[in-house]
Amino acid sequence: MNKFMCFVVLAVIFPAPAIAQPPGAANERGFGPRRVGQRNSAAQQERKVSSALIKLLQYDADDDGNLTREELSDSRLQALFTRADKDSDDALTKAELVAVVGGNPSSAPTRSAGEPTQRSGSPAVTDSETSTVPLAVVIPDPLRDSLGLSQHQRDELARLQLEVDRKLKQILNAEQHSKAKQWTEERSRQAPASIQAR
Amino acid sequence: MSRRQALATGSLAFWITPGLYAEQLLLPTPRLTEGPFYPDKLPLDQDNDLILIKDSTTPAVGQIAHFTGRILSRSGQPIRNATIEIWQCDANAVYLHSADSNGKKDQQDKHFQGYGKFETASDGGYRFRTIKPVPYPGRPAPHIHIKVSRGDRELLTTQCMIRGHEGNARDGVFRSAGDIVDHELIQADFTKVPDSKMDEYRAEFDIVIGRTPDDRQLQRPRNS
Repeated sequence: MNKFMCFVVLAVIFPAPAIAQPPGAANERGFGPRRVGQRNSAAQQERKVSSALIKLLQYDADDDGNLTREELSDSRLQALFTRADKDSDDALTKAELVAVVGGNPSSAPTRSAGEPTQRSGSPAVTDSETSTVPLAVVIPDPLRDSLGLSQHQRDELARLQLEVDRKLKQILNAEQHSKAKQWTEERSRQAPASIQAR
Repeated sequence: MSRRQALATGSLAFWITPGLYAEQLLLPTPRLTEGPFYPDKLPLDQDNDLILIKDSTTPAVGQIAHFTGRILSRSGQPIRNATIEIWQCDANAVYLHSADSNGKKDQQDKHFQGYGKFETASDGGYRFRTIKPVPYPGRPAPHIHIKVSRGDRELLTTQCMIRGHEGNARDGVFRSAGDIVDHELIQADFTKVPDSKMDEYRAEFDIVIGRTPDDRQLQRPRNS
């Protein structure tokens, strides 16, 4: 039974999705990189939180852990600063920083799966419409987590997964794809815990 | 070391060396998918005014937007002689691409240019007059497609979305565009031009080119 759940795919990375332009494409949806399945969302969210924090803290010129408006010199990030600066004192504390990037300000920057993310001043993200369970998981979550991958490897893996999703969508026609998605999603609902490595 | 190896090493270093971000280099504008509708037949009029085609006096349907910005290197230097192309669907959600427009002839706004081009001068600045982007079926985030090149080298393909638009959070391309900082870098504020007679908007979108070699070179598989 586990065999069903264990989709390991030998995938080939093709040159950039940005360049590929399949003929006869009539719908713009599906040409963007698709989201990796929501089951990954906890790890994914954690990764996004830390990468955003790293980027922002590079502007912390005096290295005090806070970010002033002056330090955040990139004008493109001023809107983010304003959103984050809840007390309008023109300085972001660590808690404010962690909060704006979607982490939990009172503890380590992690977040449980399924917890909605508040960002961009827009309504909390709901996954009902875009929820996707990958048809073929390159490396299932439990295995991935047990491998002790580096941040770089995780990023590469996420990229590969997106690429696999994208290619599959090209290979299958719409009907096949939706049938396959249905099947996968039913499977993952029935026994999410049994998705594991051999 | 071959040219390709050198490029591969360069791009690898880009991803794994946090130190490269240091010294307040500008964060590069994230690369986003080109999508399927880069015009399959470029229009005769390719200027930076997408509202009026050639000598026509009938403007495009939609809210006029003055879309401007600068093209910069990561150190903040303006990039001159860069060509920026933009394309987007018209106010009725039809692209200037036969795969999209063929079935939507009645719907298409014949007065919208759909595509425009501009070459930067020494200040790296660009300027377009276009329409405020609208959602497209399957793409709840209104967006303008952008391609930057220099000579025959493509430097960046990306998209600009409307900051704070409710569709962004539901949009597949937006959501997969990285972390929240990346999200900031692909959005621009579309603000009303004060005292404009016709409900005009302006948006400033600076584009930072992360790497100067041809995108396509760098996007080859690194391990092959």
